[in-house]
Amino acid sequence: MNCPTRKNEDAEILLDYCAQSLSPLQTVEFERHLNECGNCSRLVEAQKEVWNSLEAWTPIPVSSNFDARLYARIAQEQAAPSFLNWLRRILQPPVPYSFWKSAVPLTAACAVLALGLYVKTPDAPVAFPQQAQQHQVHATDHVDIEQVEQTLEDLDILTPAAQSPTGSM
Amino acid sequence: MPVSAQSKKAAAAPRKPPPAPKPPPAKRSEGNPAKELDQFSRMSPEEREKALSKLPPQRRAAVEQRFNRYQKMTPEQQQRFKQELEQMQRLPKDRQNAVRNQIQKLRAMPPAERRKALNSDEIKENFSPDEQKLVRESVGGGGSPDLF
Amino acid sequence: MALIPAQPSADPGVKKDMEAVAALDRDAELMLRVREGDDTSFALLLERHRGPVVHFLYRMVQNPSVSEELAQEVFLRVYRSRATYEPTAKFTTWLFRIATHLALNWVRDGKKEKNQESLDEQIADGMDRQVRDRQPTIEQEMLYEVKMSEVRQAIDALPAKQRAAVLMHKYQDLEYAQIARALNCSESAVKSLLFRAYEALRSRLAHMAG
Repeated sequence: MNCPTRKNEDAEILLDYCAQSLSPLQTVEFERHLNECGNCSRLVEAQKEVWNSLEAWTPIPVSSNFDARLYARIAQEQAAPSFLNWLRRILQPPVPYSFWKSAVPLTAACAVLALGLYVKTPDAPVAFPQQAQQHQVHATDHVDIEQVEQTLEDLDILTPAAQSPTGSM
Repeated sequence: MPVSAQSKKAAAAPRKPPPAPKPPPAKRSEGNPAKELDQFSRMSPEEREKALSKLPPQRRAAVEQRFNRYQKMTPEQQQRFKQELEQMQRLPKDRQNAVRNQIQKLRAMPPAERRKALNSDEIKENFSPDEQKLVRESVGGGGSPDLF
Repeated sequence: MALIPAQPSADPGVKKDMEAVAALDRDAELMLRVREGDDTSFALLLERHRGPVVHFLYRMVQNPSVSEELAQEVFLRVYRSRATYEPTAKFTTWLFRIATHLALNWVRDGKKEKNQESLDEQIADGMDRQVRDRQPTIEQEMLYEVKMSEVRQAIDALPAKQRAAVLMHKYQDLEYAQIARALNCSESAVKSLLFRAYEALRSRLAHMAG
């Protein structure tokens, strides 16, 4: 086989060997080469040391309140006005702009169009009809969702699943 | 002599992260829980969705699952649950937690052991008669210790 | 009246998507459920990937609080984009693409001068933790911390893209193609990055052999 240390394009075989991701046939062939090639043999030894050292580097544990903080941020975003969320999606795409090059002009055009439509239709009902809105505001304002949550937790405690029709938890 | 390679997968497997932290439990509120639940039940799906949007996703999913279960109960079962809830609410906060913990502890036991525990001195010494009644009713042990 | 269903949609188009990727990627299937409004699936994805993402970012930026902040941002972006998610690649590829992007931005924005303080704090924390956890001798402790300090500095000295490539290759077990997508470059470029990175690491860490 070609010596990987002589041809850079074959060098990945060294990394793959140390990572044990070669096929069995490739491993046998490469080990035969190592028996004959001092350069590769030394390089593999050195790479093994690097691997060992990296392996010993264990990161610190994730904070126990990581999830809670994340959910709090999600809740905060969901409570924000929808146009802010829309703006955030435009300015902070999950994937960098380089992969959305063709979409950017189209998105900008859509944004302008949406804005135009919003401005152009002042008579369009942007809020619910008064009565329904009152009912909606009234109902949600008076429900303590955390209380409901706690009550339903007590459902699991006070009333085991076997007592309910579905028999499932 | 061939150089023995390390197992990348074995070596590189990241240490298992700590168990998923539960979302912080909501502070127990004052107020009438049965009334809040009734009000929640009477809301339209859109109103419920709006109310639920105040909760983080994991807690919201748990509330939805439990509420679905509640909705499937018969009216008699719902009424009974609300009565037990009211009994619980009459207890001081620390006693409520003690009762909850005891119920969960008993539920985890095999039936024979649970019956024994329900009649034990420990329960009688640590819980008032009202609390004992609530515990027994919740774990299906009946209202009176004499049955066992 | 039903609440938002916790079960995946019965829509035929979505079901076909899900069946197609299920064999390939369980995480993508979960993400499709998140797209359909199943927040429990998001919690599952978080449980599976929280650790790897935080650890990757920690090794990239070498600051515990920054790594968690960045990791939160990763999952926030995943959640935000749930409505438009399409399983065009493995989920982990997408996830680490976001993580790498955020990490490279952070490094580029020149926060490195703050790192030295956090590295010193980590050394102290690490020693305390080791004493609590393993009761090694003081000498073993010192040697371990010296070694770890050298490893951290060797990684920190790598150019950001090489660093990211090594961390994804070594700790996350990503394939060359996945690393290439995460770094927005070709596979051969990834191999070249890795080769140069490991060469630099061998040079810096060779004296630690034996």
